[in-house]
Amino acid sequence: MVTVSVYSIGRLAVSRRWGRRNHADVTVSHLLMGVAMVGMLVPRWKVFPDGLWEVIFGIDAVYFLVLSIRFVGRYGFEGTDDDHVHHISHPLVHMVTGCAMLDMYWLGMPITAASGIGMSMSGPPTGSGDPGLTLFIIVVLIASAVWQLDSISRFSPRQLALSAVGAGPAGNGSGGSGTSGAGSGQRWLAPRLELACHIAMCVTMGYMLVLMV
Amino acid sequence: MSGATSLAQATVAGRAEAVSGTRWRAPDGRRTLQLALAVVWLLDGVLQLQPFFFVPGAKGFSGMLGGMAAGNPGFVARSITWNASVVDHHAVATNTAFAFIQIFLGLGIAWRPSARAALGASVIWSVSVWWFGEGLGGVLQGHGNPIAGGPGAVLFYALLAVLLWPSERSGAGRPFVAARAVGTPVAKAIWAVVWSGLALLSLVGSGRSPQGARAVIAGVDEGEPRWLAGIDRHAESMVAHRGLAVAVVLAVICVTVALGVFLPAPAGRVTIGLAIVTAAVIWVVGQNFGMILAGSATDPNSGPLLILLALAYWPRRRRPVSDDSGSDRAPVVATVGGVV
Repeated sequence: MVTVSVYSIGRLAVSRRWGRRNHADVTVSHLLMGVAMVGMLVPRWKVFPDGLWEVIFGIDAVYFLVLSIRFVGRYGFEGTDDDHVHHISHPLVHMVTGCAMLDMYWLGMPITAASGIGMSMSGPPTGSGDPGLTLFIIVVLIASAVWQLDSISRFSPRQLALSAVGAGPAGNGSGGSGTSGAGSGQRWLAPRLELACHIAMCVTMGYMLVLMV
Repeated sequence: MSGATSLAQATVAGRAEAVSGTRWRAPDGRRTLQLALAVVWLLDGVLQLQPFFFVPGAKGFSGMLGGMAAGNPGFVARSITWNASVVDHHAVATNTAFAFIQIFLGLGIAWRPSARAALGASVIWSVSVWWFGEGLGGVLQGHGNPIAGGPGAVLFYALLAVLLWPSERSGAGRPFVAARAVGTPVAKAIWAVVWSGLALLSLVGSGRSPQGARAVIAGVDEGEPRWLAGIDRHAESMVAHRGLAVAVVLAVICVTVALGVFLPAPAGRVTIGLAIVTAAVIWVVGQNFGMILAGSATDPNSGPLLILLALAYWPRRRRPVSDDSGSDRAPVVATVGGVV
């Protein structure tokens, strides 16, 4: 999570400096989640009180909910955005990650870093959340990680070369610009690394939520 | 002008495809089921990281493993006991290894370049876990009741890896996803054997005793949330002293499902649907979602694997297509993600 957080800061800076396209909202979200989870695992690295984190992730979840609603309004449930890359799953899954963070704070994070096995139960979860909902979130997060890993080769240089000549961002046959950014004249900044951050985030969140079920 | 441009683009694209192999495709029916299998493996790995499994001794993971030895033949019991003792002496190292093996299997199946290797490794790992971790699923002890997860959930991981193997059998069109790798006759035979076996397991051993079904349900409700415990209590009262009737009904359903794959597509869909409903009911009532909500699960048990297996046999609506079309669709929504 430290790596993801540091990378996210660098990504924001580099994309701005190099003028490359980037999902700044997603990167900021990853940064905040990484810092928050580090604080959960290592209490002395907690930078904000839990209440403030709850507000932050509440805003985060609402922001992506609004994006989801706007997406449906513009492209429908089965459509893709102007780049022919993003589906409704894009904003939705980030809304779920925001909700997952809220769930962690509401349930009460029971783990702390400890000697030996690297984690220990410091007591039962203090919250009264619904474990069924938590399990649902875990499955969504893990499914998102798996599906994103499956699609990661979409953004390999070879595939991007294909999409640049109009073969389409693979798979959907739409002939869109994909991450080559042909439509905007700008290239995306390291899309596979962004996916990797998302996958790491989802797996780590799933793990932390499992500890709280 | 535009025609010339298109021709030039097509030529370049063709060259690029020739260099790179194949163009990325959205997941087809088989790939979607592979990804679902990867989700289950990844969930298994994450569950394996729960603190309980790092604890040595009789109340820890090694105690759970050692408990599988009782009732098995001597050579099987000895191998299970040996494995449990190794885990007991190196609880942290072994459990960490087990967890990350499963995580890497999930991620490996999800990442296309490693999917084949990960599926192959998952077969080896599954069979090993079935032997050393599940005591052959309790089959030789008479505890292989399908309601409890018999003959061992992990066997279905291996079976799915084989049926979803990324290769194509030549020959006539394939009526369902599972037939693509092994061929239609073999796939149908596997289905019939699996469900006939489940029918048999529901009738032998402790499952048919008057309190057999009730004991299975009562054994999983501890620590469950109130709504699920309520379902359990209701189910327990329904099946109390009716173990034999429950076993016979389940066996009849399993035999019906086993034969369904040989029926025409419309009737086949009904029986596959019956298989999915049966697996879902078993997963909720008999297995309580693998006891994940009680915080003591190593895996989600056999329910979701049986559902995945059934989806791999869902009759296709469209006529058979060529090998590389990748257009067959299981009734699963394939969410194709973009950049996150």
